[in-house]
Amino acid sequence: MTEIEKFGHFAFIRHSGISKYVEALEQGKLTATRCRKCGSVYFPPRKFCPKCLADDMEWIEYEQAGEGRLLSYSILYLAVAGFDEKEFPAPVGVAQFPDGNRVYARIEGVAPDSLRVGMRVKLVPKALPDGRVTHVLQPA
Amino acid sequence: MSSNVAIVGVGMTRFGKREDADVKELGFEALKAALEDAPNVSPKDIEMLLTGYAWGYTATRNPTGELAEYAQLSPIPGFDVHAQCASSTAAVITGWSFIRSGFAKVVAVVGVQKMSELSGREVQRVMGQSADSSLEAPLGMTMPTAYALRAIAYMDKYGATEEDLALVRVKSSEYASRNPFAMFRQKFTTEDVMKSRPISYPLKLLDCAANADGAAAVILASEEVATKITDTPVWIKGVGLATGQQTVRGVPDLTTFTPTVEATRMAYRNAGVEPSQVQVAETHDCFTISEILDYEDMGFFPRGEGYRAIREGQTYVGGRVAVNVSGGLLGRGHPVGATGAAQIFAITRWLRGDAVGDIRVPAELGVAYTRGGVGTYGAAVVLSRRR
Repeated sequence: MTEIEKFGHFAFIRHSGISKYVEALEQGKLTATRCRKCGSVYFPPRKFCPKCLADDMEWIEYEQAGEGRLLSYSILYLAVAGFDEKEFPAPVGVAQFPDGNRVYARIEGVAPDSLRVGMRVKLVPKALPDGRVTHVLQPA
Repeated sequence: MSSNVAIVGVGMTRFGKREDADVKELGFEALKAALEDAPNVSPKDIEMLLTGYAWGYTATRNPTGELAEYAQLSPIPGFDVHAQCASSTAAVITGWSFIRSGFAKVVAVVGVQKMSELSGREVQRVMGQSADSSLEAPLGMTMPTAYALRAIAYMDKYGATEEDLALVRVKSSEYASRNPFAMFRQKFTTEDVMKSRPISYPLKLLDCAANADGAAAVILASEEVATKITDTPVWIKGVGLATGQQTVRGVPDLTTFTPTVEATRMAYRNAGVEPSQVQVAETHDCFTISEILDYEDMGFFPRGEGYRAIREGQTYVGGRVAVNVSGGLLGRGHPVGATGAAQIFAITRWLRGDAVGDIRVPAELGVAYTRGGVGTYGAAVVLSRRR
């Protein structure tokens, strides 16, 4: 498996410019990229900076993830082909951090009927079976 | 010198599971119907063939080339136009621009898709590739989930309920029961929708448009040709295209689709009309929530009032604006590449004064809007009986 193939529950692609994000997840860290030219910080990380078109990114630890708010959520009942049916139903959501960055991830540690828009969440790295790794939203 | 462009013929196949035909045969069936509908246009008059088609659902890689050979239209120019579910609307706009430029006078556009060779779970994997393939699809991003996230955000912000979403399907099924081209002919109640099995909370099976096989075709002609061959041309008054977001995390506001707002605003501006003038619309009701967002994003109702419009019956024939009264994607079925052309088929017939099944909509101005991906592409066409 390439690094990006290890991300999540099923791989759609084999190559990516943000493989280091997955390497860091394996070490239990969330990372972002910072453009060395204009200073913009990207989470999830990006290889290229759309603001100044530079491709000179510095990898930094992403520490602002503790104060997220859930913008929306759903519960997946339909197992997509390739995914393990035992994972479903699976709660998922979109969270926003104080810096404005957002992430889509599965949610754990919350009963499905307790999910609410606006609830406080944090994003944490998580190891999955078979050498896979992901990030999940948990109650903050 | 740019020409006005008219629709001079439309045709479509029945949508649903079609084990009797492959992609080129479905495309031919719709093309044949459109040619039979177009007075005084024969296959030799077609100067260009464009196909709206989304790749990945069948092994067919070159639908335009296959159809050009099969219909004996080769060697005329042609290619595939791909914008996911908005493919054939984007193909009609592409044909419009080739006629406007003087490159061609008569263009045939065929939207076609065959999805029943894959299971629903496999289709969702293909559709997952329409989402962010690096960081979102690997977590299980399905098309229903992308829209479920919209639904929860909208319901939380404005107080709409799951029953309000269900009312959209009740309307769709009412009209689909009268449309012989539609996949689902049975009428559903709010209770039927509420009791259908969960797909991605809060969306249930009957909140979702179904994967389907089918094709629809549109014959476009320059003003010079159109005015010679038909007394009932329907004019393309304005077109609009936009891109949005492939990632869910990149969506600025989950209660609106920016490609819908931008593409329809562009089309209204080019047509010189206001949304309040639109009498009939076919919009992208791939899920019940999407029709409610379309009401607002297309300017028919103020923000946060779309769900009240369906409660009040404002989008039935005879209401403020008739929306998806063909049955829409929910009732007609959604063979993704064919949907835009099927929307234009319905509006063209109503503007001419013809029926779809026994559905008639008295109107002079209509709009077709198709969205591709998870809100990735938008394509809109404003149609009028008046030049």
